[in-house]
Amino acid sequence: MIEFTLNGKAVESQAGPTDRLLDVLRNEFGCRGPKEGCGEGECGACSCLVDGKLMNSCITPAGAVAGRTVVTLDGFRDTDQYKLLDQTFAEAGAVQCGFCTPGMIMAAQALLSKNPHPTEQEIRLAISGNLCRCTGYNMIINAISLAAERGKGLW
Amino acid sequence: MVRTYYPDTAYEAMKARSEAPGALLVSGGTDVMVRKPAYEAVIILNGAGDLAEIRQEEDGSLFVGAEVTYADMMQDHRIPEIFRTCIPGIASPAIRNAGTMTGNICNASPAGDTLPVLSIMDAQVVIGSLDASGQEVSRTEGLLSFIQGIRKIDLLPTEVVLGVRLPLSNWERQNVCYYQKVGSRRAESISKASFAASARVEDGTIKDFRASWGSVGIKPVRFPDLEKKYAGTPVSDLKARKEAVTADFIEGIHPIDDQRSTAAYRRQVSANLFSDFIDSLGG
Amino acid sequence: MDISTPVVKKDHEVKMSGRAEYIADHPFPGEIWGTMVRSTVPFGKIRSIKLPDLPEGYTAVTADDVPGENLLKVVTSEQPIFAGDTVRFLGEGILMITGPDLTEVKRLAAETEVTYEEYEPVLSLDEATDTCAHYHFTKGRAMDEVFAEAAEVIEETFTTGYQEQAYLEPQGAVGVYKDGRAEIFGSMQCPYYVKNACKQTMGLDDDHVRIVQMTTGGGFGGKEDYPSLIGCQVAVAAKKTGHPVRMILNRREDMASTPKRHPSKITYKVALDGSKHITGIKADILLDAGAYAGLSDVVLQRSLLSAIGCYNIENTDITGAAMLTNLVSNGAYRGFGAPQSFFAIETMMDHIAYKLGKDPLDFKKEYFVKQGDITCSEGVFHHHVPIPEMLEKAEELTDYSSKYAEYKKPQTGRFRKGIGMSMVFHGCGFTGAAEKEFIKAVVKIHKYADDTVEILASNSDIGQGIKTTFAKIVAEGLGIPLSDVKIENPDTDRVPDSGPTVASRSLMIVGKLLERAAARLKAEWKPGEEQEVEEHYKHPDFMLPWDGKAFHGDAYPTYSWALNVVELELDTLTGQSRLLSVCGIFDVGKDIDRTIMVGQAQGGMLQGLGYGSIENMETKEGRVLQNSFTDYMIPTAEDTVPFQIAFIDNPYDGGPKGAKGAGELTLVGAAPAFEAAVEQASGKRFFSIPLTPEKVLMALSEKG
Repeated sequence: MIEFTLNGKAVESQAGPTDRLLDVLRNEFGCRGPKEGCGEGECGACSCLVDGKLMNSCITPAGAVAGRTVVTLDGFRDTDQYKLLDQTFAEAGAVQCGFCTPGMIMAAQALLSKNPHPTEQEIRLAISGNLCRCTGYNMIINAISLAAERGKGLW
Repeated sequence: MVRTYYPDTAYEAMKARSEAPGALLVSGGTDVMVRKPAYEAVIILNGAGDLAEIRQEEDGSLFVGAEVTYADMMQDHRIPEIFRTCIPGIASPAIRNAGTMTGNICNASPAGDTLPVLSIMDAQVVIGSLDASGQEVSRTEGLLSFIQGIRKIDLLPTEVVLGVRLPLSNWERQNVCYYQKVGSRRAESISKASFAASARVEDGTIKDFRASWGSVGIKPVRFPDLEKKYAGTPVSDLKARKEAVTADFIEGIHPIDDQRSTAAYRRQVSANLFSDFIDSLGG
Repeated sequence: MDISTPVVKKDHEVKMSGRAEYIADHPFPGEIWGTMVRSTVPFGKIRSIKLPDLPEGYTAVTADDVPGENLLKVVTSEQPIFAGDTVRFLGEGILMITGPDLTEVKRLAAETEVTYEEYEPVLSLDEATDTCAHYHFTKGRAMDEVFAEAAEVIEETFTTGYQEQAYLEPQGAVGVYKDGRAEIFGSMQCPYYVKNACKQTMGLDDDHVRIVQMTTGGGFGGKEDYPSLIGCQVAVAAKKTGHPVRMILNRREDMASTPKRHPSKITYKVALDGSKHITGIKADILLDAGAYAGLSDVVLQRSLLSAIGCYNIENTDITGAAMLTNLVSNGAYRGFGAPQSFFAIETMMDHIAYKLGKDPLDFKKEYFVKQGDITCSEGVFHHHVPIPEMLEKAEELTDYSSKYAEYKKPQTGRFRKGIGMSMVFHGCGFTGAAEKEFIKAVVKIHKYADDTVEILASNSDIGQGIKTTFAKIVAEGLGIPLSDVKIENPDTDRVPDSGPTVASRSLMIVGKLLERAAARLKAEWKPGEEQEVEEHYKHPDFMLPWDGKAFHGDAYPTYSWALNVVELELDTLTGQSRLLSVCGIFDVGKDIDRTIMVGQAQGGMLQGLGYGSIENMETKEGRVLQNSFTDYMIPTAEDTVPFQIAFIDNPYDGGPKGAKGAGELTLVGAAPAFEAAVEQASGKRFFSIPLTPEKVLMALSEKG
């Protein structure tokens, strides 16, 4: 049994230690934020935060989150930080097919929580493990940049 | 049911491996979770706090514990500068939050990004296990002998890699460093070729000279004999004979064609970067 | 308010919050999993199939279980739903293992042993001899005469590689069968294509098949035809097992076995007279169709119609064929045959300019088409061609000419700069008379008693924003708030067949129907009453008749235009290049939402840059070598730079508010502009894309 905190709640998973955290999140706990795009840690659609750090849940062994704190979009969307990102993603047109979006939001949060005033280049680096085929990235970068500008005190 | 160990310390990790010889050791999991080998027992190492340390040793070398992630390394001012060039080019932020240098070594992929750097640093792999009486014993092994081939390492079923020792007292006298990775794109790229080199140049003469290539052989390629041959050469001489010197080294490189690049390209890039390194030498 | 003023997209909130239901997110009671057993040889007769012992609840679904025809309906029907006795490419689906546990299903599939009598496969375009489509058409005088009179003839051959759509959400569908009715839920662009295929495969009529598009994580053409195959497979399995059957491909399976952009080989022979003026161009285009014809005929048509690019050439002679091989079937990908041709003709024109000692843009300017000029199929460019305005805008935004002149000077050192420009068009909507003869689009607007309305159309939002642009057109037409216009993912039980979501047709063709429907509803509006209006496609009366056999007439009612500029720095040690600036100028008639249109431009151009540079896919012995996101490289955020994007308004009456086709256009011009920039920076000439660092470095290391 693996115990950890998921989106603010203590949970217990029946998964094996090398089962994918992604499957645990989706199948055992009904999270819909993390998506499976590649299953190999290349696309970032499954991104979540583990102890505040960006991780690819598809290649994170479930056992590795024992005792840790996991946040997915399903929990993060209740925060004020999300609400601002929601506005700026809408304004910048950063969401097209939407499949990369939950991962992008987690990558944005991982960045802004460490660096509330990132440069454009820092934003590029921060989302460089999150593939998007629709937007060409620039609109997502604009959205994160707008959130940083407006997010006085939020991060 | 897979037996699982969650050691809190390096000692417990070694104890687990002696109880379950051959158990799968999982650090960041970024590689092993993609390959998904079947195992009867698994040791999840990321809770072993003493393996997550970077510490200066008495002889001046720097020990980087097996659970130190790439992201952790970037936060530590004691880490040699060359890693600040190398690490940001490894995979992606999420992978750098999970992946470790020890994992990169144990994964023993020809394309391991840190391997050419570790190779020119003469890095040593620190390996621990418990003897019959439960006492910790450790041994160290040079990187290039520890890596025996593709995904083959010199590790007994009861042993655990505790970390990497970087012999800095020697390294810090190198006054020219060079690292470049050549991948298909700027992030999240498995290298087609990589190159690390360093030199100690004093009074216009090469005193110490090291070069290593990645992704062009089953493990990082280094030519100690040639390095010795050119040590003591004035930089101006080396530059004047650049083409011949480059050819001397590149002759020993035999890359392959695969889904990521071609042998011809790898060879040419290996030569070009080496040449550029020579150009970069002062004096 | 100007229709272009951006709004929050209709589907923004649901996608942003992670609440949108992609097929992987929606549970079906009693569902089980399916996984295909796929061919491991490129061509052969199936000798035997040995299944492992199937535990209770696990089933093998084969060709014998298909109730109707075991053939996939695309344009025609060639590909089996489950391979019967022959397999024609490595990765072709033979049978499906179904059962409650996915890991167990995968194990059973892996342990299924198939033996083959192998045949000699055709493993490259060069080896191919059988065609599944071919055309020949001319304009002007006989080419023999033109060449005989020519002072000089220049011949060059270009090749282009595969391109994988790389939608972030892999292909997936769930099939449900109950009470004699088949239902397919999935990630798709064209619900009615899936419906028509399912009817044929299941032997069911219109009333007994229902298709529902789930939120779709990108398509780019890749979910035009393939969802019909996977949909039929799960429908057959659902009928056999009595359970809903879910099949979601894993990334490697998806990349190795689903259709991609056709590799091509394109040869031009260009006649010049004594004053170095082009008098004729002969083009020969070969596409690798893969194992089954599928959409290849239609893709080829667009390649051919793009063969001469944006140039008015007096005499042209164009031949082309789609060749059958024993490789993965190719199909639709944004641009649909045009990117291959535009890469080739743009590069050919650059090369001729260099041979004549002219700057490429000056040379091309001598030939750019204008309104009233005759197309290569002897149709007419009926509408204004805004190339002069686009060039002016490009100079303003990029300083192209002065940069070109600067980078033309000899460069030394490791890093060298180059700038390249391309000019392309996209013929709007289906090629030829397909809208009139086959599609016959229908839309409805339903008005509820509370005076809100719902759009009923079969076009799916795959990220391109069609829900929003449709809704804006209807809201504007009715003079009601956008929030009073509802639009759901299409369900064929509820929406009429307004055609597929392809060919940059949705907004122009279907949007126009909605504009008309809204106008009618507004005229007939009865507050507080439920009403419904329906509109049918009307063919533009100005078009010259299209003869599909002779390949003659107006292939498209109108054209969208794009100019791309790419500026880069080339690393001569590695052959890699780094973008310095990218600019796109587009005439899409009228953009219905500026932010959405910029999004199309941003994404399309980066896909085009990937196509031209790093997206390399090859096969070896019939196997796709780069079948993962690890080995097939699409650009990341670090590989790109901010793009400059501008639009030239040039409204077209046949589209709503003047809108023309837009989605595909944005991809087409980036690769040739990239190639031109690399050519300038390197001083070398290239003939193939992707123009990888391997090709560049090998050229640079050749002496001279």
